[in-house]
Amino acid sequence: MEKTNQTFAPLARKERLVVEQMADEVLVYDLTAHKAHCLNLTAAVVWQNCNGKNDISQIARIASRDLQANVSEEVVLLALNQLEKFKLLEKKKESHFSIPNISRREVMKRVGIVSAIALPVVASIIVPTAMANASCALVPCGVGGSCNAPCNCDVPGGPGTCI
Amino acid sequence: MLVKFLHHSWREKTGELSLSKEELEYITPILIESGAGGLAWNQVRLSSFRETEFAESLHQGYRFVKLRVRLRELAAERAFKLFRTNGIEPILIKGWTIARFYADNAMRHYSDVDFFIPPDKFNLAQELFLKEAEEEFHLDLRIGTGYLDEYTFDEVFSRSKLVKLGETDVRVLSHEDLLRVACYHWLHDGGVRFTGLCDIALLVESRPENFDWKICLGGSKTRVNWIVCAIKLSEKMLGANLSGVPDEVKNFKVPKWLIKAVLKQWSRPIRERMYAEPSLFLDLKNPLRFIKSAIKRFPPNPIQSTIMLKGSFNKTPRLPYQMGYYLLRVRKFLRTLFTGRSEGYK
Repeated sequence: MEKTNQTFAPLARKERLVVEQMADEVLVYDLTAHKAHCLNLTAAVVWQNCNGKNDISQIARIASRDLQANVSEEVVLLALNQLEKFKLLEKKKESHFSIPNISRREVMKRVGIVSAIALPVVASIIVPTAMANASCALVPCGVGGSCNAPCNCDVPGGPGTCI
Repeated sequence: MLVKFLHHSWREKTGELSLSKEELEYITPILIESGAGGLAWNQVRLSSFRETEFAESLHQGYRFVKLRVRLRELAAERAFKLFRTNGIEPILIKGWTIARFYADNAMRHYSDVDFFIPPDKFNLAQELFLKEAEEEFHLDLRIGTGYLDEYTFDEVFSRSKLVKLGETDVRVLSHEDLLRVACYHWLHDGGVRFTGLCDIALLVESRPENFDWKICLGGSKTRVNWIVCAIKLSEKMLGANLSGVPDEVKNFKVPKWLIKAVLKQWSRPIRERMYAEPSLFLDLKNPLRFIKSAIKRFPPNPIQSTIMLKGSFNKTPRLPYQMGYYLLRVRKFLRTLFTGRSEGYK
């Protein structure tokens, strides 16, 4: 039998993630997918309370308390949708529950356009290309001509310079 | 514009900016691509431009650096554990050891975790690195002090100290040696990284009370000339506070060509400035392209040429150094071509 929203207790992924707590957001680096994400405060509070025990209504209550504003279950669902999309939730094999899709527009309608809280946002951090590759800038090749990807040693087998 | 923006950029900000919105919009891509997104965000976040589109780009740059430096911190901690369990006590250099002096570590972007390795343990360290290293390790190991310092590993080790990085006590250079290495490294790279000059300014301003200038300005006359020159340049170009520094530094006359050369580097497109040119070996099959590439390499960076030929920074023309360095590179190329062995990167 399919579980209801009330009994579904999402679990935040912990493995192979580097998490950096900022004052007003949480930054997450996924060591498996090599992607960086930014969670706004609402999304972060929902995520941090996904302990596999709290169901959606409990998460909504905790988030309301922590953010000192009314956080509805729709808002929690919207956050969970995004967290799932960015692979920040554990997938429980035994669970048949799938988080219902809910759009930002629907949530806006239900909670009202002028909401006391910011809607949850999980966004990818786009890595500036040159910066991401800066590791090969004027760097000597390593052992056997090795360089950090995507750089290559100018002299195959090295020693030389990573380009 | 860039120089104006970088002026005192390493210090805690008050929200006042010296550039207009249009000027900031113009330099934002340069700052982000150079790894200075965090440094710039530190200035913009308290200003009235905080909500603008370019500020958001800088904020993204900051977020990226914040995560990247965290990854490197974890890599450094893991590397220390790995080396120590195998009886190696390395010294962490550059990167985090400089970033820790900034108000926010994301103000200083770095790509690698660099170590000085005791010369007698270098082979073992390399083996461990190859065996254990994962993709996100990004370690750069140097035998002893490598080309970065004239002091021996034992000398810098005796002055090194332990500081906390997360849960780990990591060994870092003394402030005197760190400043020496930062100055040399920046010049060795041809002055291309404007963040490197900010590092020098920051290290000078954050030096401890017992900072020993005799150590920092020790070694050969040429090396001292390089260190003095880089420190004085940080004042001349970025407004570093040099109060309390020796007269030798205060009274140093920075040659005009050097300022011009640095500005020229900073105004070059990012890819040309930050990356080594593609190898001439790649052009061997196409003679016309080979000749073009060879010509394009002349004259080489005058700062790098001076360092490579162990010259001094003074007002004499740089052309002889540039010619000399060019010939050195030709010799290196030919040697590699005919013997298959390279002299490496010196």
